[in-house]
Amino acid sequence: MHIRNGFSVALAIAGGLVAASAKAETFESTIPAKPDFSVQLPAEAASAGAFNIGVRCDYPPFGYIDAEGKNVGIEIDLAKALAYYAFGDASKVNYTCVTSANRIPNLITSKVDILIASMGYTEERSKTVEYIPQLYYTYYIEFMTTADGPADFAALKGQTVSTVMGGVYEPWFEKCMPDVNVLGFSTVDQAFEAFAQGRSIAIAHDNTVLPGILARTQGNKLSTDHVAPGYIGMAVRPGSGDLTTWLNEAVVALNNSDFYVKSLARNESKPEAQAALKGALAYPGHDMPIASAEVSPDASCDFIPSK
Amino acid sequence: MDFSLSFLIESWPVLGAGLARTLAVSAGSIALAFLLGAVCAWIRHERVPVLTWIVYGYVELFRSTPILAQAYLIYFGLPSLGIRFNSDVAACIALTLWGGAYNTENIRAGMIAVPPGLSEASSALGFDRLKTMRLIILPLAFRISIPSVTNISISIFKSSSLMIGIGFHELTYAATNLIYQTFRISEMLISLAVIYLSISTLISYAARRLAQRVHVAGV
Repeated sequence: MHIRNGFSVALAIAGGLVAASAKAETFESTIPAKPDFSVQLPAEAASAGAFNIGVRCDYPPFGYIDAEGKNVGIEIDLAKALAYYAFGDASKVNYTCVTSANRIPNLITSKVDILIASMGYTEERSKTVEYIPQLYYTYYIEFMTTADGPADFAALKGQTVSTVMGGVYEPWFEKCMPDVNVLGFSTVDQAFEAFAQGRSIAIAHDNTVLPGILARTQGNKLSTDHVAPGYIGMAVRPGSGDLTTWLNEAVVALNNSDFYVKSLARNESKPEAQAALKGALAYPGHDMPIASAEVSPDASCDFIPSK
Repeated sequence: MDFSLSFLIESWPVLGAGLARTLAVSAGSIALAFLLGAVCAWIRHERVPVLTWIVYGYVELFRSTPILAQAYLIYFGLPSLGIRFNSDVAACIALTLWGGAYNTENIRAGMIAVPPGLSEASSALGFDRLKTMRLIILPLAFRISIPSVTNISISIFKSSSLMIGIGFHELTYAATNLIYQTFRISEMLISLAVIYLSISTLISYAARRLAQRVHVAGV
């Protein structure tokens, strides 16, 4: 248990340090100029005066709660930038904390209007929600284990792996490695705790989360291979029309700037984790898919060696 | 409402497997919680030195804290003391300890409700305290406490859904996972409600029939 507490404390301290160092630059100054939108923000959204956005609150550095109880993270910055474009005020966002498990139900039952919740594209999800075509970061499934643990996915055969419910992980194991016993938990914290207690031989997640945990713990390593990559995007309810177009054009503007890189520097203090995460984010010159890449990890059972 | 019966039929093997685990852990926990409650009620009723205070503390602890926190403590907390259970066993222990605490007071209340004249009569007949407890008080106390023990048994069954928090793959876990994968919310939530309602009603009916069978006029 103390390992996780140490992880949380490290996160809080790191968050404080990076927040202090970033004070010199205002958040608004990191947002690129407002693009010439081809459509108006729909009247319903504009008259609300603020966006209702579902975000992660347990997923540093993308979406988490800081020591002051505020929503912070790369995806929170994205939400603020959208509000800045729409209402001229980055604070015009009503945040709702969602988990992997309840984010889509929150959207389709209208508890939130937009999801910016580290949600990867899957074919099944795309039947229920409308992804914003422009995606803003990539990920792939990998696992973290102890230094003497299994090196690659093939070595997980017959073993127990912990992960989070509601992600792409359980369905992937069920489809591609049915002989792996998967322990599903509600949060990354719990999945990591189960791994740290030796209940599982590895924690399976993705390359946007595990490097941060690896950097803050000792005696662990990442798998030498990973599963075919997937893409992360925002989502709205199907038939959102102009809202989808408007959000897409906003993300295009942000993707063509160093907005996420600056946000990463504010939200992740560990250099090794920063380096791993930068490879996942969109920024100019970075080879990111620019269209709705209909590729998802649950579409492939192939393993790819990690660099 | 977009409700697909064929989806429900397709999902049944997954839901059925979850239901089987829910029933197994609930049945085990209900039986163990009853036994634990009976033993602890006897200790409290007879004011067994030292043990009565331990039982008092146990009952207060488990009635005053949320069952989910208890499950977390058993599953995630105890390993730091070198005690480790898998999620199935941890779920059963959590439900048993929680239900046992309530059953202790339910059965003790049943013991108190047994007319004192019966104990006096058994003493007059030469029964010692243990024999009086075994042959007179406990059988009557169990009959009296059937309704309240039934309530706790139904609560144990329903609370098994909270064990999703410690990764126990029960009925709610199965349904929730199907929701995540297919987003058929209505079908899954209605199925969950119907299954929990049906089984709770069945437990309640069985307890009523039992109460009628063992009813003793005047007690």
